[in-house]
Amino acid sequence: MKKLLLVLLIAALLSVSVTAKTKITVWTFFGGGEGFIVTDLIKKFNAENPDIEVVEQIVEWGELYNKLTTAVVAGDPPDVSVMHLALVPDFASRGALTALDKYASKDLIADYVPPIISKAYFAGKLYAIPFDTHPLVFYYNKKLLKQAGLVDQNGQPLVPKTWDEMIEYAKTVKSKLGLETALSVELGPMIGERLFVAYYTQLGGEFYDQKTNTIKLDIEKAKKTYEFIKNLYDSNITKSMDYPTAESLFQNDQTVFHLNGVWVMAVYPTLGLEFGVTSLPSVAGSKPYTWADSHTWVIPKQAKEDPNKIKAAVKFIEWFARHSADWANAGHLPVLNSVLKSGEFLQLPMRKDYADVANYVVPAPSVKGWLEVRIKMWELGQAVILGQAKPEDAAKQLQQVIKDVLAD
Amino acid sequence: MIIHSKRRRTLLAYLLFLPFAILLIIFKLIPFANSVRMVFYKWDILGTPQFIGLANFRRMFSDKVFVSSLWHTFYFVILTVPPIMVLSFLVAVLANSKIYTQAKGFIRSAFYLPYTLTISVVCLTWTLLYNPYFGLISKATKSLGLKTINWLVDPTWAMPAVAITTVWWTIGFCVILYIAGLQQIPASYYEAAELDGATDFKKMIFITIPLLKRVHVLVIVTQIIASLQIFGQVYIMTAGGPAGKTRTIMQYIYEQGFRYFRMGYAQTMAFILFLIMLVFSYLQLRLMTSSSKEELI
Repeated sequence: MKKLLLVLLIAALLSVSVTAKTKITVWTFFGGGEGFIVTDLIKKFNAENPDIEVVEQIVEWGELYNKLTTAVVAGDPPDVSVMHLALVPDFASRGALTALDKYASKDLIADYVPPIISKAYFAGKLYAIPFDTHPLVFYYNKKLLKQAGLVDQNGQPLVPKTWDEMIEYAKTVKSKLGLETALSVELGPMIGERLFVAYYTQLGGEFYDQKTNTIKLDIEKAKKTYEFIKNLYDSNITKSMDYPTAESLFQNDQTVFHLNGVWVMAVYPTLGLEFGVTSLPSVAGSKPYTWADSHTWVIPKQAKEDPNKIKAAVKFIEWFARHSADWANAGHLPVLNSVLKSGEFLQLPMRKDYADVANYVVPAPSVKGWLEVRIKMWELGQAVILGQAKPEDAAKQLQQVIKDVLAD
Repeated sequence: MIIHSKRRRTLLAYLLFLPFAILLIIFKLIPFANSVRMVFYKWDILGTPQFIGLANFRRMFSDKVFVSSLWHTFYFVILTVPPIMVLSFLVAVLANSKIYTQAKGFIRSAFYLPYTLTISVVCLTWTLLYNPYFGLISKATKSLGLKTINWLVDPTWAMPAVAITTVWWTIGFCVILYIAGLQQIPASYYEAAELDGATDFKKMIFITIPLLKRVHVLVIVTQIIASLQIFGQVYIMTAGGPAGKTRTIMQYIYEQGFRYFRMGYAQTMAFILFLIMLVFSYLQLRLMTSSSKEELI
């Protein structure tokens, strides 16, 4: 009997030491190359931190936010979730996220590039720990530019600095090489939201109204932006296409220019393609401002807050942010100054060519309802190009949507 | 004694019904009642619902996107239901005819196979087929010297393209229904008609088509109800584009409810869709009972 009791006691002690490990569940939507990097980083963290066990749960990309919403309502959300920076206001304003001011390390926050960390705040409180930025950038095919004779004295391909140059070069390459299209870009979010935001900002337009803390639109600049976008199609350098087609045309030397996010840098350098990547062309006299979103970690609101769990979760997400040079393998730009300048990041292929873009990113305004505005943008971009709406009407419609969203 | 045992039997019946009833009440009736209640509320899922009376209905009737989404849904019904009905009937007749005994199994499985595929597989396959740059369809039209259509990005062709995919995907189920119906028609009817010198065409018009009335009703109504709820195909193939031309009511309900956090408004539109489907279900019930009465006579 005594023996049995002793065995039980030992077993109980053992189980206590096992449960003393804090278990942190993390929801991500990363698949493919990105997925492997995250999984590896989590493994590394678990090995370095024996008192914490981070468990990754992969959720379908399109479903994560719906599931997160219902999980918060049900009082059973994960301890940590990935979230796009642009969506933080929509969740924070509804009380679905835990404010991190008490937990976050001051030195880490001070290390961020300013345009990104400022958007992680909502109503003065910190709700997210960003770990990358993924801007829209400009890709060009060096082989085709050389074949079309667009080279400088040293035989290096000419890279367009302004949009006018881009259109001119595209026309030249298209006619000289007999290409079907010279610029490949998805007609959808890429044109309607990302290029729109970039060009509108280059014109000097702003979405964030500091006076009222709401969204605004300069209707004249919006109209000009739609005219510019329509002209890309009217001048025949590009055609309407979906995302896989846009990638595939560029990967197969069938188009000289390509607009896409930096996330393709995980794959493009491995294809044996002779290409370059740089910041977007700009409106003459402007800086090459560009659209960008960021991946961040957030801590969803639990039914019962457990400070120890939150501390462990913050430890993990801060660790992840500091290790974002590994994550940058997926193509994304780091958002910590120390990582951006680190050799570990700069030795990655071609990263020097676009690391500078981090200074010109235009993240979404931290305003509730932006999601609805941006999805309307995807639709309006298509409407303008397919002749369903005039640039002027599209600009007016966009303004109306902003008004409706703000009034709601 | 007799009364007692009758009562016991009734009690037993209720007891046997109870497990189902409890599940029905918890998982269907209570959520349904709640969702109908939400029609009068503003609710962003995460916060507390606010009573707003009929504001959701007022919003709905002045919402152009609601009207256009409803129209796109009806347009999709018109584009899919008649072809599904006619084609599945023809395929069933072919699969059931005496001449093609050898090919019967092949036809049945060939037309039923797509129905066993998941929606994402079907949609991604057809998205590739429709691709104007590398797709099989554009390669075929190009070699025939026809103009290449950018199916899924063309405002005119996007919805028909989604409809074609849907017809291809769902036809198999209706073929099976029709084959079952055809096999129920007694051979003696055809023999009698042959004795009277009826041609194949006349047999089809006067025997086959009228005697399949129940199947026709079943196919029409189930397909209308299924097509009214179209969501997956447009969500995957066009995302409601180009320029919102293929946005259907289910998709709009999803967007408003889950993307824009307007659950009350989404419920209001879902309630209207429910009423529309209720009308069709009622029609089905009426037509089915009247046709079964006719058969008894």
